[in-house]
Amino acid sequence: MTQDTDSERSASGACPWVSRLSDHIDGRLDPGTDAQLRTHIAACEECESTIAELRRVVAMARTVGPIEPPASAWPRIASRIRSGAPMRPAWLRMSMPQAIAAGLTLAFGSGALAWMLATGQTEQRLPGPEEPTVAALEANLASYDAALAEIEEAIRIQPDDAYLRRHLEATIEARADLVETAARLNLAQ
Amino acid sequence: MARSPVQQRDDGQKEVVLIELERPARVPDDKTQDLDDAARAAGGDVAAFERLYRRHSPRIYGLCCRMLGEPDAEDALQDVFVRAWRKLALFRGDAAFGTWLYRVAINHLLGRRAARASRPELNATNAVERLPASGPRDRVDLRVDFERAIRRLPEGARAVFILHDVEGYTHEEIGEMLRVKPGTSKSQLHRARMTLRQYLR
Repeated sequence: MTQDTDSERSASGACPWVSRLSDHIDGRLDPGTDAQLRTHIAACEECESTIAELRRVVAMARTVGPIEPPASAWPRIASRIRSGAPMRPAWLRMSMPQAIAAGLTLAFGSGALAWMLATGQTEQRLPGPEEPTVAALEANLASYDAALAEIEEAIRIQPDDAYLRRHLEATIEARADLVETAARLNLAQ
Repeated sequence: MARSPVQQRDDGQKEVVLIELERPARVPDDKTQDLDDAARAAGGDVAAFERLYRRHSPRIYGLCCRMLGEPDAEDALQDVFVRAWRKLALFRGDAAFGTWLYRVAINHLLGRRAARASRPELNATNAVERLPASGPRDRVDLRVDFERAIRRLPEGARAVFILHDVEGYTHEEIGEMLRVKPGTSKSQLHRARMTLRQYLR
């Protein structure tokens, strides 16, 4: 342990370099900082042992494998897709005041764009990754984020409202779909 | 025969080594069969969809278990496959079916996770529970402890750890998925790793 390291220790007693060890393992430190850290590790037993343990965690994560689902799962799925039962009908049944309060109109607007992109309808209307497309995507993502902020605020006020929770879930998922679709559109151009 | 990931070093200490073949993200798809079955399923062929389910459900279920815990995992698995069935018309084969399905699952699970985070009664994992970490353990014990430890991580750190270290997403991708800055994703990952290391001692 170097004298410098001791003098740098935080109030908790941990070596301040410990917080950089994951970045070092993942190769995300700039070369200068990385060289400093390597020098430090050679003199710091705490960092030397911690980095060995972190490497074991990363290696173990890569051995995590699939898990066989319960046998009951497929019959239930088959039953649902054969019956055409809606997966999440409750939020579609929200009253208009609830919907407005939770920013549902924004979600519908963005969802429509996501659907158009996903089904390729915009390919006839938009010439490529032009600014209007990018602007529309950004505007719709901003709408989702604004809607999500509203929903989260509504949930803060009414934490037991099942409608709001389901709407939050659906809006997060719809936003993720839009991001994914936009990424695919970009790759296709 | 599978090689154990736990190796004995010269100094007598155990260490876990990387076994590339066991990484789930690298399990190859039977792409031709998948494309054929996806096309049939999009036309309403439930038997073809069941074949897709048999090939891909263990990976998706593993993800569900780790992200949500077993009580909710089967329900989530059902939702993912029902959702995939309804979206099959949008699958155009420009990515492997397994990759497409995985994104469907991730999007669904992130939505569930966000909704669950708003329910305090289901979000009792802020404190990290300690598991027995000392004493000799065989490979199976080590793996079981590690799986249990992942599921006991706080919500944010667990999601980032699974997406980055298990599934191989970048911090930029994770930041977009979780609506956090990449720097937050990095610090959550470090927090998760620092917590998990105690289970491998």
